[in-house]
Amino acid sequence: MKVQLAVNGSEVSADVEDRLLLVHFLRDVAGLTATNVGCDTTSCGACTVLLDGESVKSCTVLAAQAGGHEVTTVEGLASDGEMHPVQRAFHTRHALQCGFCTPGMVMAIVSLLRGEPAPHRGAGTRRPGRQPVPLHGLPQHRRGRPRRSAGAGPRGEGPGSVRVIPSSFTYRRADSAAEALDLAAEYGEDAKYLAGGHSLLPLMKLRLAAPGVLIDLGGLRDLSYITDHGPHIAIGALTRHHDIEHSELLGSQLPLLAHAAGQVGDPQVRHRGTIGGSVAHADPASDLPAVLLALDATLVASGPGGGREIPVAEFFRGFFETALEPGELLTEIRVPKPAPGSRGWSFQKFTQRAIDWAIVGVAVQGGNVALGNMGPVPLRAAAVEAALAGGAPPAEAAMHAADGTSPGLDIRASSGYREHLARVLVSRALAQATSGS
Amino acid sequence: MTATEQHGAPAAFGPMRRKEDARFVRGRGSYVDDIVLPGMLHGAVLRSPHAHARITSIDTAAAEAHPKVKAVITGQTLAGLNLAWMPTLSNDTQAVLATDKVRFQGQEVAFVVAEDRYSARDALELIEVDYEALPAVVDARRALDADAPVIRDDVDGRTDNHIFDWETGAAARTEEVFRDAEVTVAEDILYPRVHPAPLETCGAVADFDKVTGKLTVWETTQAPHAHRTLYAIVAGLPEHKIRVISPDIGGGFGGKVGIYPGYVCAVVGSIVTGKPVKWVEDRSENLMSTAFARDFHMRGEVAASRDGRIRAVRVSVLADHGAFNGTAQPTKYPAGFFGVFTGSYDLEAADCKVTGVYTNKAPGGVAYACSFRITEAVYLVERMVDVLAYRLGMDPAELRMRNLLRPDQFPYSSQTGWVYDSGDYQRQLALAMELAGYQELRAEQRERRERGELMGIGVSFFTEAVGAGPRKHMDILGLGMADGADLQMHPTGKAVLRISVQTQGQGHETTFAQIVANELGIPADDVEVVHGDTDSTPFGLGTYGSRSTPVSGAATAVVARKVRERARIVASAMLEVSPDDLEWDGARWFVRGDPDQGKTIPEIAFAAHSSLELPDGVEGHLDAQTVYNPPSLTYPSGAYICVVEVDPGTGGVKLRRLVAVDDCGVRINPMIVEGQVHGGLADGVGMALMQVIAFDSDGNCLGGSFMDYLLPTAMECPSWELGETVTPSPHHPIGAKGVGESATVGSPPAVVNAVIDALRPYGVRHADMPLTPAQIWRTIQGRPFRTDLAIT
Ligand SMILES: Cc1cc2nc3c(=O)[nH]c(=O)nc-3n(C[C@H](O)[C@H](O)[C@H](O)COP(=O)(O)OP(=O)(O)OC[C@H]3O[C@@H](n4cnc5c(N)ncnc54)[C@H](O)[C@@H]3O)c2cc1C
Ligand code: FES
Repeated sequence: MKVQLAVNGSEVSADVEDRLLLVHFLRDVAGLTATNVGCDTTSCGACTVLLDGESVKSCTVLAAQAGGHEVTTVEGLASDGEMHPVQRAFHTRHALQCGFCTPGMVMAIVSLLRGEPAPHRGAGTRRPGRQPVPLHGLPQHRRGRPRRSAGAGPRGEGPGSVRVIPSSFTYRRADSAAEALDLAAEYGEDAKYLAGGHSLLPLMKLRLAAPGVLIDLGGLRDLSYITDHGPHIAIGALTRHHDIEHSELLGSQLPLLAHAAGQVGDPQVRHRGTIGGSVAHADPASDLPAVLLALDATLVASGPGGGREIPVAEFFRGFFETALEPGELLTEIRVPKPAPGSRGWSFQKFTQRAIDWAIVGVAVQGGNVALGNMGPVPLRAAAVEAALAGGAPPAEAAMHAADGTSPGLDIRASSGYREHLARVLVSRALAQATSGS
Repeated sequence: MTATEQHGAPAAFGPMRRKEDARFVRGRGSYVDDIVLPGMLHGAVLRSPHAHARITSIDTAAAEAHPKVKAVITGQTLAGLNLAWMPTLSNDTQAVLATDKVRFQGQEVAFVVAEDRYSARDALELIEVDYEALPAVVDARRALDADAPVIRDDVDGRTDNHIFDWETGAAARTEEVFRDAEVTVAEDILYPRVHPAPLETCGAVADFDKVTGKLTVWETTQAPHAHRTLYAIVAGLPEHKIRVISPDIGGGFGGKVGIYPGYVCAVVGSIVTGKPVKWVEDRSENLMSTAFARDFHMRGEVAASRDGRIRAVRVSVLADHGAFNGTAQPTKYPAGFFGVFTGSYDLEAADCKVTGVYTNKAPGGVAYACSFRITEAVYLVERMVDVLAYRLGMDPAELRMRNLLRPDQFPYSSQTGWVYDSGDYQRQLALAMELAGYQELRAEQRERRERGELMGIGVSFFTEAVGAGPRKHMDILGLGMADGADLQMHPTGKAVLRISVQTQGQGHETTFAQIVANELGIPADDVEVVHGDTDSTPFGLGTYGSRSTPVSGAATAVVARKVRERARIVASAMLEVSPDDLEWDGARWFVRGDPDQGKTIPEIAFAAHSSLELPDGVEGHLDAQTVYNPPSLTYPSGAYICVVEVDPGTGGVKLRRLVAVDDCGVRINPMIVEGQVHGGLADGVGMALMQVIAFDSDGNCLGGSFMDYLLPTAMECPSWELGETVTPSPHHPIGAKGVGESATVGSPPAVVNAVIDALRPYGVRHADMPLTPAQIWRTIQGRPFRTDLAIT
């Protein structure tokens, strides 16, 4: 397919494979080799560039997705040979060693300083070159093969054999929800929607998913919104984590959701990942599904037969399985505003590093308690809620946090440890929610 | 600080912005994957999904039929060229592409050459390999069991997985001390398998020119000259027709010392297709198949007096070397420099036995900023000192202070025969304690313990032996560990320094220019450093084991002094005096007693190329060459203090502070030194708290991507607090000792000691790295995991 994008202010266009990753477009087609691949699994940030001014990992964006947009690489940062202030800071403060991931670090920081109100640690922190700009990948070991890391797999997806690039597919961009549904109808089971691509593309690069057609929803800006409908707030399915995190409306009305969105992965992931994708992907370790469970959200979907509303409690059916019919498009998430008296909230995400997926996650809103990564689907901690309703003190109710759960084991945690964490985190969450309400 | 400010102070030493950064911050570095040649093809490696299996058949027909595939190479193809096996750096053999069996998960089985990188990878899926799975040796502690499957049945007569036994120290004497000691302690300590994981994976571009017969290979290598010689030996190519270029390297940490099958395949691919072939591995391939580090299963014992005098240390080690013995270390040292396990203490006796075994894991070993197993040695002794402190109820800093070598004991011969050059250990530890506010921290800890909070303070003190090494004792595959330097002076006084080591981020282009500048009194900006290309640099063994400054830095100082001496002769002709009447003031040769009469190096360099009648001893130009064969090793040291908080509910660790006082002798560029320490501290934090390459019972690698193998980020690291003492090495031309690995060596025991100290209320004396939340939770319950195996 023909892809045209503006790279560092110049138009670059080329006929490329639909599956070409942006990083390879930049390196091999545009000849801009500053942007390097460090991990292949969206984990390291070495490949960070700016897409329309925001940091993204170019190993997890298709060149086709970037078509028509503006890309800035470190080569385009210095004007007339004058270094950008971030480059200068790197140079004067010796914030690099081998220089390999430096372009990614520089671009991540440029974006951070532009976009985020208060970076925790920015360009001023002296970090020699070895550490990647934080981020993280898919919890591969949880993908039904708990004993295996991303490196292992059955024949054909053998270790290291093909894990860099997706297998071939046809890329189609939808310009409206209606067109997306039409395309889905046209291609049937072989097609998959592509939203931010930050769950689907990593799977495809590992060749754990190989859809024949991708229907890109990225152009559906009309499905990216956050609006106040009185008793509830409506969020378009294509709204990105970054926009949820920084929404003033959500910050004041649904602080649990805004806060949790800010805990997803790292800034680059939040610039791409969408709430709809997160829900539709139904990874039990994800943050937003558990949050939406605690908030009693309603999901709105449209399919060939029209639209329907699905209460979130009925949405998650199994490991990566949802109530969506094939071809059905998630369009909106409706979240009721918590009643007075239920405004206390807490989000407890236990991770090893700041950027990681939750080993166990807990979301509490009022008396609602939801758990992430405690089984094949995100769960409501029914036994805790019942104990609370029955008047048990929070610390006592929290002792039931693992009741009815079936957490898996992986390289980070045994099932028993997860059960323990659930009790500890629910107890803390309830304490925090109670003190804050 | 300049020479004029302080007499005798080096002029060009001091913080100086790195020359290489001007290109790096602009993204103008040129790494192997950036090399593009006309007509270049792309290679990809098919790897084994099994840890141990017999290959019954390989069918490449479908892959060969792929329209973009140019060649498919298997072990059979290579066997025809006598290249299916290659020698390892430890004089073992390693399969380039498997012919008989696969012996670890991720082992190289076939190589596809195609028109582009996507097609090459697609074609891998078209190769059909039939395997007959065999039981795998996963647990090193079972490798010598009578019924353990024999991994290396390719070697005639092999009936077990034993590689070597090695011993150092004095067993009988040590036993005597142990027998009459008032106190003895023992502990099983694992330094689990970790991986260097540089952000740039390994790769090569091979270009064989059939017409000229010349092979040019761009490689991610820390040792280009050694690679050239090995290619000549392995492939039977004439060495003068081989050029190895190591361009900008995205981190090495020891992982880019050896030759990997992918490099050889790229070379063969280029010979077979007649086109340049690029091969770059992905991150999983890097983590699963390239050189691991550590994997030492140690039992440490200490004998001491009741009042805290450490008398003897005894260690036995089981070393897991993976499926091929490929450790990179001097030939006579199968356990590297582990002999420095006696630490920084004055002992009466010491004894150590190491046994190496094969397992169904990736080969390599010794890599990762370990100074040839010193990382393991330091971890062992520094953990054991804390175990002893626990037993004696003594403060661990106090216990160390009491036993550290005193300045008057240097040069000090250790019980295992290592001659420590210089140090001022008590002052160094005292400085670290002062920077940390050690007594206040202990007071805070007491208070917080009463409140049920877990705060820990960890101390470590290390001595490294780096700068390998004297060629009489040290060689790799017969190549003595010396390094060359050539210095060329242009008529205008600008210099070109050619060195045999090359940077992977350490800043050679700056530091080495500063050394020349310092010797010749010219600006460092006037010195261009050429490195990493065997066609334009002198022979030498490369950058690893913190050897660049101790060996090549010394060569640089020596060659600059040779130039200076030649300049003296020319200056004598210019000034019409005898060379003996000239004195060097740091920037000029001047006439003794008449300081106005003098000549700078640029003036002299021009004269050396002019019509001036030159005296005997200089034919023209000032250029010089040298080879530096180090007389001994250098011994950097460090005192590290770490403060942590442990969450008793989750087992999570918060790293609060890390104080590092390093003594690397004279600091050429203190900014670069601090950068090296910063990076090493982060490395150590990673190993102590989150990194391990573990395996499940089938031999599946559980750390095969950055989703599973965690690198600490800025968010997990505190703002490092550094200090320094300077005891110059007496035998190094500029007194420098090397610092590249110090922090990686010293920080893991400091962090682990801090965490174990935090867990003291639970009676915990030891737990193995990485101290993940899950491991800490289990340790609190008195049932820690084997961190090298899958969690159960
Ligand atoms: C490095 C990294 C770290 C991460 N860390 C976290 C984390 O800490 N916590 C966390 O919660 N998540 C994390 N994520 C996941 C991230 O939040 C994803 O962006 C999100 O889960 C999926 O959103 P997406 O828009 O990228 O979906 P995509 O990847 O585009 O799609 C995911 C799936 O949903 C389907 N889909 C998408 N949109 C729709 C729709 N509108 N209707 C129907 N089906 C649809 C797709 O077909 C696909 O099957 C991480 C991801 C990465 C790469
Ligand atoms: S290469 Fe590591 S995030 Fe893209």
